[in-house]
Amino acid sequence: MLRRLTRAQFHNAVKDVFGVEVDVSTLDPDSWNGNFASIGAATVVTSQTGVEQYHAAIEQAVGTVFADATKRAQFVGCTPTGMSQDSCVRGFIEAKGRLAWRRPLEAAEVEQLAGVAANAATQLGSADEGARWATVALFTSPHFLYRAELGAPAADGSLRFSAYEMASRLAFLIRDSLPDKQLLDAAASGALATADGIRSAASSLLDDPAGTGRQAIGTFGEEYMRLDRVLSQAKDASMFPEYGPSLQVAMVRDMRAAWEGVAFDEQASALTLFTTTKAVVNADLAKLYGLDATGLDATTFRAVSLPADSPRVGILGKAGFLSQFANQKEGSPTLRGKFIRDALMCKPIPPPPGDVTAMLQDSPADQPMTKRQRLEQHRTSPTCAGCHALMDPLGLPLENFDAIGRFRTMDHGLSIDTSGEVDGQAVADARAMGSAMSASTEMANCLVRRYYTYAVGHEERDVDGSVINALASSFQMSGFKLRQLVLDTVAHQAFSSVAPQP
Amino acid sequence: MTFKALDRRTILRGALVTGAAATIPLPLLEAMLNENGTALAQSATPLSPLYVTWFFGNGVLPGLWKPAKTGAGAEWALSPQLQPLAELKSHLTVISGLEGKLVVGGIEHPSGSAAATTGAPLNGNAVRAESIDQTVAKLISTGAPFKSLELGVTPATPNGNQDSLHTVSHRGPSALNSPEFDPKTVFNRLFTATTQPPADDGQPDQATKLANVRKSVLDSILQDGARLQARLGAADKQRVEQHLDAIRALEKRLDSTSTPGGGLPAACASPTAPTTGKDGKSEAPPGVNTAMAELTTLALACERTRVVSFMFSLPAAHVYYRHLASDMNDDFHDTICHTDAGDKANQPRVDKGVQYTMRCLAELLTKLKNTPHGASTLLDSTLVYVTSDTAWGKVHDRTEWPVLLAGKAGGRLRGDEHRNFPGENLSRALLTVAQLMGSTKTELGLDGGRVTASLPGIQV
Repeated sequence: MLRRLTRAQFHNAVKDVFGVEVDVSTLDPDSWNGNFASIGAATVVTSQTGVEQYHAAIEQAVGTVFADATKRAQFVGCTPTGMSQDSCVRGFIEAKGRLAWRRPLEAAEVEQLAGVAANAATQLGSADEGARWATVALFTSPHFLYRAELGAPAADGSLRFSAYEMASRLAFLIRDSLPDKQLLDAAASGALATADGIRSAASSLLDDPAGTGRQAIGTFGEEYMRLDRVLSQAKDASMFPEYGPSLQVAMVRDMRAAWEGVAFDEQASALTLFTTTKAVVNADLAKLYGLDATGLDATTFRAVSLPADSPRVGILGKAGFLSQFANQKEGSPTLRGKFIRDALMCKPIPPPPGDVTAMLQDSPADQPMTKRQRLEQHRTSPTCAGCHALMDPLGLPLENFDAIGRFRTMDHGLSIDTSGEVDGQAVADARAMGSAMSASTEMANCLVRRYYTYAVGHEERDVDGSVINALASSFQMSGFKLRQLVLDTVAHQAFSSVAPQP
Repeated sequence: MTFKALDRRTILRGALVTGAAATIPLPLLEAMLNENGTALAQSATPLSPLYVTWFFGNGVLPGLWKPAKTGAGAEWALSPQLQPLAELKSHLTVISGLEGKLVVGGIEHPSGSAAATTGAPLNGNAVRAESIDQTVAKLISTGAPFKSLELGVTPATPNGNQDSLHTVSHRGPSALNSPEFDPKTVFNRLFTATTQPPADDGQPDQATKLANVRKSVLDSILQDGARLQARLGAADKQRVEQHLDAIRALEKRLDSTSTPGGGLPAACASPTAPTTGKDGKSEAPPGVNTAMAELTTLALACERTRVVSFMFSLPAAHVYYRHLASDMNDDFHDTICHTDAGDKANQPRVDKGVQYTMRCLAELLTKLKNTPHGASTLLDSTLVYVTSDTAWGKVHDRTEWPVLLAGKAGGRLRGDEHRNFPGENLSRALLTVAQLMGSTKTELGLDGGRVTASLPGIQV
């Protein structure tokens, strides 16, 4: 398997190594094949522009470090001489190379990079320039940008990932970045050769004091809930003047925080994601949620609780979900319901039949109708009802929330009926829907299936059934704790074995 | 765009990514052409036409798009939706009657986009074949600094997972060339340049030294790539190969040297940077179209590239043309195309959107027409393939697909004609385009999109 670093992983790796923030929107887009960037990464092919963008980002990050004498000295760690047998530069290349490429460099590779350094030092008349351009070569190399996890035959005949490949898999899953020195050392010592060793390393990563384990859970939530779409959406400025970058960024942060909080702060059942009243808001999002924004501004965030009787609950009540499945002017119960069913219930919906005018008539101005009333056509027409009955009842309880996720009680001047249905069970509103979902083992099982594919980097296949059953069962035993799901997934043999061909 | 006299001592230096100076090869110098400006003087090799895919989402109103009569010159007249192109009639070849046979119910827009640009059905989210612009790029882009350029006016999208919703330029499955929507970014990539006199002392200047350093970095990457490829299976090896191809292209740009001489538009020496940024409201504003049309013209005129994919709007674009009229502030795909009352000749708000789209096309074509190129104009030298992801947005009609060839393709198209091919496979238009651009292909497409003949009588 050859996965390209996702935008987030590239960002995090560059930040770890150089302390520089890359604007991910300037990078080649992730592929969402398999519904996760971490899966699309195994098939995506980099474009010419994409390659140029990687080079620009790396040159800039390296340039930032080398432009500052203190940072440069700290980064290089010794004083280069610029000579072709410069032991400082060679040691530097070996150390940074091991980090960048997630394995020790071969002698020929060190030689090659030392050549780059010597040439740069000579051409540009500075030994530091040698170290600088060797660094650029390390971080624009395919060995940095792509994760080759190919495995090797084990004693029992199975194809197992090498120790360094395991370090990489663990780090990109649980740090969402490069393995650090400690993890690479663990790989070198053989500590990742057993399930217990892997579990123990994963546990340390989750609890990393720098919070990277926490952020990795946030990234899973972000990918799962497709928050990449939030930042590129536009809304009608006359209806929603408050909609803009600072609100959009807050929507993403709030959703990530929900996943991080349930896994780390509350250490609660993942199913409480559907009922949580916790939120993380800046001034813009606080106002949108109808909360006190005193002391907040665009960049100051605060963890808050919504009122206990809030009509807005859970991740489906968050603006990061609601605003995404909406056009510029109004929310879409159908698209909201489709995502819930496809992604959160693992029950894909067949595509609509061809040649239907699958769209709703707008209500005439003199006779306003609610969205629910307009959708009624889809529930009565036999061509449409088959699929819409699977989607709309899951989205209609969220009709209290408009195109940016603001609470409302009226639609086109008419009061809103929020009744709907979850798996055959009638629900009165979003709160009732959240409760029904939080009691559903089926939804927990779907989460296991999705996390498993996210972790191993390929879509679910028939042969994965037994692994998923085992993980679902231990997940349930743990009281649906995300932390447990992560540890059980990485400790399972399926995570350390090269996937058989489907 | 300001045109200044070219200082013959000036060497254009374009930035490689972060400001590294690299010499831009001078384009199509008159000195290198024969007296008619139609071929290279020394080899008599005919010049290849340049190429643009001009794509717009959501189709047209077929009843207002298709000209009433077929024929050439005075025999045919423009249809109502082609009226914005009236002054360019001499350079239009309208092809009507084609059918998008690969359109799949439920995923009409992505499958229609793939049909109109790759001639092949989708495989999951991925296309199965390269798109026509990339077929053309392989034929004509050798030596060009940029093998192809992809840009878009509005990022408005339904956000589906299919690759063909996000671009119409594909090097193959999962190999998207994503459009750049910010004119400033396009400009910087193509032209960030400082004009520097060549060093007089015969010593390499700092920029040359830096270019040498960068070359050694790129060489190192190529060696890394080769070692990596040796360990990979065929599919992953090919993915890395495409990355390495891009590295080689960067290396070539560093290698390029200029030949002092005249002939290129002076705008190439001091191009004016656009002041317009990206469309942040999903409304395809006229200013961004103007900027992108200028950049396209400049990129072709200055031979920065020979192949452009100009995405006016993406397939099923959820675009809001609120700047056109107060009644246009609705989702063009969801609301206007799909729910406005009327038949395929009468959806007034759809018509407004299509008319605007054609005005925007006219803007590019007019710029190309006004730009000298060799002995003629850029529009004479270029083939612009105009198409969409559906015929009629309201019901995703697959018959009467909008297909328009603009420009004279270096004399390979007559222009000023309308040909009708009722029920013929849309892929035949793609094969026709490929052959016009010099391909010897006699078949194109996959499955229901496979064809073994181009459209007769189009090519001169």
